[in-house]
Amino acid sequence: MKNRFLYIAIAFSAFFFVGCEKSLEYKQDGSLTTAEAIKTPADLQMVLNGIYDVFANTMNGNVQTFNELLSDNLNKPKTNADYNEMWVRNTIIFNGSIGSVYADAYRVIERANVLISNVDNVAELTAEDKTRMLAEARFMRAYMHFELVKLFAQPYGFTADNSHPGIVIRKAGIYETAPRTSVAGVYSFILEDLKAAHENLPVANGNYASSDAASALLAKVYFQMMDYSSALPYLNEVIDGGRFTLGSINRFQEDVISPETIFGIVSTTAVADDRSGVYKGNYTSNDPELNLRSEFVRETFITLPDTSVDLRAAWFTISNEGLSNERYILNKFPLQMLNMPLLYLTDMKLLRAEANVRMGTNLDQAIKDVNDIRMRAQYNVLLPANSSSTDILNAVYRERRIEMCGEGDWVQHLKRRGASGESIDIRGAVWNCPGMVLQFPSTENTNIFDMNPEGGC
Amino acid sequence: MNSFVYSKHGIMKQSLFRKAFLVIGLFMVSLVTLATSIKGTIVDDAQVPLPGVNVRIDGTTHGAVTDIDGKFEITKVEPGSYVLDISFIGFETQKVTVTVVAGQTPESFTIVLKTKTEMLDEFVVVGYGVQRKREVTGAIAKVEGKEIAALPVPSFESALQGQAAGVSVTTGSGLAGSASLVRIRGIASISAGGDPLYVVDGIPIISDNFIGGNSGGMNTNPLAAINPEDIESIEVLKDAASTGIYGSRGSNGVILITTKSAKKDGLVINFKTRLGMSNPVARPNMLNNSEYLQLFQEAYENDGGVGHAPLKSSIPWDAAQRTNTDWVDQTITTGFKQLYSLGVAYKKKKLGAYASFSYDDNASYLVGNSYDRMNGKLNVDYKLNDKLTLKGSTNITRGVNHRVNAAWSGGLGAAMSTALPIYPVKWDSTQVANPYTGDYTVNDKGDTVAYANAGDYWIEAGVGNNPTAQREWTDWRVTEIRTINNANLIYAPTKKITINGRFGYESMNWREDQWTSNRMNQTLKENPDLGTANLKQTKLDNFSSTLTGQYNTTLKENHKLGVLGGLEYQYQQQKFITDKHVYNTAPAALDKYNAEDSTIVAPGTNRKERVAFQSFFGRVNYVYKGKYIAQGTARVDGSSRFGPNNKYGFFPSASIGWIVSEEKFLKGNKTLSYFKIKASWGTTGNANIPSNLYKENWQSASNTYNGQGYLYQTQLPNQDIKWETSHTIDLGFEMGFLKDRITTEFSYYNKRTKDVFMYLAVPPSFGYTNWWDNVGEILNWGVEFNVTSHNINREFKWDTKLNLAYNYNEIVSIGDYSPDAVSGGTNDTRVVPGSPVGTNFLVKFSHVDKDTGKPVYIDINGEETFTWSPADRVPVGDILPDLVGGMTNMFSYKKWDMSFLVTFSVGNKIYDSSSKRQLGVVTDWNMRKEIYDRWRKPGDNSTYPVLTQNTSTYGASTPWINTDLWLHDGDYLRFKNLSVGYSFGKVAKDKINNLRVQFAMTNFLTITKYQGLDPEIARDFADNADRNMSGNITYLTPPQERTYNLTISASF
Repeated sequence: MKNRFLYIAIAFSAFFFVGCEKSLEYKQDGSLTTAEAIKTPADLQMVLNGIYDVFANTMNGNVQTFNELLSDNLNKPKTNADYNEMWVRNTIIFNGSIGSVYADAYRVIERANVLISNVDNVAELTAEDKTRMLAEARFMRAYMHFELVKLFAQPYGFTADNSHPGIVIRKAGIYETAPRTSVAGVYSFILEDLKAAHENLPVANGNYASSDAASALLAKVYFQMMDYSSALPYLNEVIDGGRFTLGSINRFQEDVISPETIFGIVSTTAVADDRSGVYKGNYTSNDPELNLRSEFVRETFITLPDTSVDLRAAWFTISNEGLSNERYILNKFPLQMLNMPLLYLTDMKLLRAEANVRMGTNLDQAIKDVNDIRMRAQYNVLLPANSSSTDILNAVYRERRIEMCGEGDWVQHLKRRGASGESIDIRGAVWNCPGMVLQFPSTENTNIFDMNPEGGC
Repeated sequence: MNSFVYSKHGIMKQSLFRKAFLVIGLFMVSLVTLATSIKGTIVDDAQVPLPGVNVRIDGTTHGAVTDIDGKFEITKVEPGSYVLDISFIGFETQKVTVTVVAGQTPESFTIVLKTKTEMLDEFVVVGYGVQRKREVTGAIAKVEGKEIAALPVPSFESALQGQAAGVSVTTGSGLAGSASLVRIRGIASISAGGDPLYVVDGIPIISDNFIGGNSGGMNTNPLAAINPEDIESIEVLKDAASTGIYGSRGSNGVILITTKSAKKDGLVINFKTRLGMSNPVARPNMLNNSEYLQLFQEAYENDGGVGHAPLKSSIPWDAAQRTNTDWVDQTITTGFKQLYSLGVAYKKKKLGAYASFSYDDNASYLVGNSYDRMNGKLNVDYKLNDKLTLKGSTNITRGVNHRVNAAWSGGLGAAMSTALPIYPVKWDSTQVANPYTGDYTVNDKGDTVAYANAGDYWIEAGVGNNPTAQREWTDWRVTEIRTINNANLIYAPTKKITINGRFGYESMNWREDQWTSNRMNQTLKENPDLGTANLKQTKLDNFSSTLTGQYNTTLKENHKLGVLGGLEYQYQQQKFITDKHVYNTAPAALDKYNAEDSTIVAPGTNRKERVAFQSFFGRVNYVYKGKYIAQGTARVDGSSRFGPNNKYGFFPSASIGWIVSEEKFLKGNKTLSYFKIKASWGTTGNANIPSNLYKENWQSASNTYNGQGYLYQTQLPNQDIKWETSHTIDLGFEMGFLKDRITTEFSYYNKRTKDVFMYLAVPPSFGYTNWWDNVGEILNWGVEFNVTSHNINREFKWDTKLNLAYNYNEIVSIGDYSPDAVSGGTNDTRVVPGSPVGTNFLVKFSHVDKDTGKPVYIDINGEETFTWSPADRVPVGDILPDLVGGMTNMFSYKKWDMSFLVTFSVGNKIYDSSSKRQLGVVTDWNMRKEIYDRWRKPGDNSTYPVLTQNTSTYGASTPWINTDLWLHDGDYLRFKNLSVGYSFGKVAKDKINNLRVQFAMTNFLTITKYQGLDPEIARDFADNADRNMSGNITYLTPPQERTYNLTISASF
């Protein structure tokens, strides 16, 4: 009997303590630790591609549409309540569209940070690849901080020293609640990243970020800071480098990347990877979610529907003309899997034109830059050789507003001009009124984070 | 069971009888009498005659009651042998065998009734053992199985409602098999599961409500698979002294379920059948077509509209005026229920066996909704020899839930929302062309075909807004096959030592098949017999093994010591499969689930999750002189859910008790017959969180951006994630009065839960949306009181049981996070420091502006405003009741008995979330009749603002505005159950020992000020956080059912 007791005890004990150490370590299906995931340079390249992947979900028209809704280009959205909040300049903490784009933008930043943290963990990675990867990651990180600070904070110049709150800066490996950094601080962080990227990115990098992309973005950042003299050398570098040409007016095309693209998002038809859905969804239908205000047409003097005067008239159609439900529809985004330039020559030339005027330096070059854009559109009203600064500026504004219509470009230029002292009215609101910036999502709210004022304007 | 009876006039007879009755715990006295009557005297231990004692011939109603001198006489007794059943309150019931011999002189005899020492001899089940109730130092509530089985409820846990102090049970909804929300002593968890641990015969079982997610407006309820007829008793462990032995899983209480086994020698067969009907406790009061059109038009005109308002789905006004569909009628009916249950118990010598089979077809009042359960159980114990006993049990259940859409998903929910009364059920005439657009339909061959035929379902507003069509075109069932098996070897080498080895295996195969016809889809209408099926399957395996050693000894008479030591290992594996099938050929009418007929078009996820616990535990009990009690427990738990930093947790408890009534100064006190004081302290834990939170996780895919693959981190790991721990103090006393005719218990507890698991919405700037962290601290304190009283104990009996529990709940801290870090329900409850778990965090609604009819809100500064902004949300109430309880009254007279149960809840709010659309901005929803109390013209004093379709009139950019206008007092008192029964006793020439008929009603009366459908409600939940935080929130939730039941039971 004693023995039997012993056997039972042994049997049970054995069951309990077989592999005691391992008995509480179960690998779950589909779970992969960092060490298991990143082993080779190819793995790191996939991590890098993951940054672009979520970047493309953010810049596929989402960020651009939010900017456009704040501008004076669009009518009230048809049904989208989240869009409507932005359009009426009264966004609240539960706006789901803002919440998801905000989260995606920081996902880009986080993935860049994860790459930065892990780039040293793969022994076989060449020094050249490592330099490139780090530079690409920093470029993407800067890009998203720049887009976020434009949407969620009052613009550069809102306060004299730019001490007004910007956004949270996220660097590698820190997961703590954090306050907003001042706009000055955010811009200097962006510049630091971009300069490092500019130095280390290759001239040619396929569909990924190149040194020209960094130059172009640096120019845009300085421009937003009204630091035109710092923007000019980068603009000259990109434009005069000769690697980009204007091509046709249609920058948004399937399978073809416009020759003026410095950096953009690509769709890949071979694997049915479409990155242009938001643009098409918002603008491209007979009764689209978003359509243009009649003021847009009036103010840009675009002659519709006559393409003989201006090829770009083809981007706009009028439905139910003269009726109460008249709509100006933007059909710049054909129903295809589009490649979408984000940084491109047209913008650079218009930036340079304005920078030259602002600096009072090279007005001839400014006139030529504007006329290049007009000529491409077969728009025969060219700026004469001795045009005044004001005429050049007005021409720049007009071309910018037409060329980049729907791309969320216009409103930030309005804000910049407002910040430099112009009197700017945007659909009945002042450029710097509270509703002109978006409210942060509810979950960003912590004890140390100041939300934007609510109530709209 | 019954103690020895001595009769000084009787002659003890060593007979076969004695042997036979020994087993049922019955000693017998055989009396030889002469004539046809039985006489006697009943006295107590002190030889004092007892008046009013019931003496009855067992199995009949024939008997007598003792007079003032304790004497009784049962007349008209035929010669033969009888068992007398002698019962009196405060005394042990005794059975005495009497033989009446023809022609002999009857001789009176005296029977001494022994004082009932209920507290002394009653046992309760505790973790890994049983204890004398008297020596228990923890807070344990016991509910008898027969009390559970007597109630016709959707699932057994629902029957615990109002039965035990501090056990708050909210029966879910009117859906068949609906899960209840069970919370013991308040809510101590936020994101982790807050449910108690359920243990069946020693095995911690699967009780996850989210196996099937939140589909169709209902969570799964694994507990519904347990047959209430098989339950012997349920013990609810509430404080740390009793739950401490379950260590890391005891924090939210433990519910121990003991199933039936053979108790008496011989064969006992029980049969029970119950037939019932089900109706909703309340009926939604939606507008009919003319009311709807009137109010819709009014909103249109208020917004400046001229002429007829354009109606939803472009329905012309004349058609709308002709159509008046009552969609509530289309979705509810009278549900019929039937239960058949057969139980067989057999015991002889070394073998004991209990077997049962039951079939329960439990239809709800929703058309097409029922839960069928077929259940078989076998418990066997066999004594191998004096020292070794083998026990085994197996339980197999097949539950089939015939599902329908409900709540947000459709069905009755649609009838209460977007299925408008102006929508017809069917087309009344054939439509050659689309009547709204004038378009013709052309088929593949180029022929024009009718747009719709007369009698076709009308689905112009989407199939979801024709609940009848949606139901007819959907075949939806959830099948679960569950077994719980248990093998148990008990070795007792000496009287002092017991070694118990137990191996348990539970498996559950949960499968949801949902087939929808192509008719649901306008573009696929051409192949109406074909369809799509979604298959969702979860397979769970749960292995556990336990080895315990118990040593009991008594030292020097006064020192009683018990020591328990144990090891446990539990391993659970959960496998999820989701597939989408398309049926290319018409499936046979009733076999749409046959995968061979189909093609998998979307092979869904297929993943496994594994969890393991490894534990060491011990308990020491010490009793000195039968009145001073001390107990200590400790458990070390290791779990696979935690990382190397916090893999193991240590959970100790200590408790003491003092039976004051054993002291000389109280012993023999006539009034206070029993008095025990007890106190306990302990630490328990909770580990009910997902696996793998402490590791980062990566995901990859090929052919993504730029045609290349990507790889990214999906989860922010928390390497320091650790046990949620509760520190509990419990003070209590138990008292018995008038020989325990009245017994009562009182407890005070204070439970501080630290390192509360929170699935936090992290600032999205982290690059992730959520992560798990131990952040919060929650305080629960409360008092519990219960009393059982035998008010009248004559031929007419009246017993009352009452329990009350008050709970105070407060979130003490949530770290740096904002109240929005953890959300519950639909943006309406939040974690707010200083407020309870599940605080309604809403913008305050002030009044309707008399001049404009606009709603006036109160902003964060207390100022009135027309603008609704979430920045103005404040804590305005909470969903947790302050006081819950129940009262049962039982009456019996001769063969009749009656009982009713009243439950009540005081101090909680109910958020009627759907009313923001039923009574708010006019949208595509139908409205409730209360909306007539709306503003119409300046000067009107109304509850609801002006009717409008413009959200801006209500100062918002969305129609979904949460305000406290929809928050109501949730106090209620509910007559939960009423039953009337009649026992025939022995019938059919004694072949049936007892035949009983009972009529019962549930939820037959509710007293409440709440204007919604049902004040006792638990909606479908999205996750555990939602379950903890949004208890009393309804969203188109089907109200509970009111049932009428007839039960016939017989034992052989």
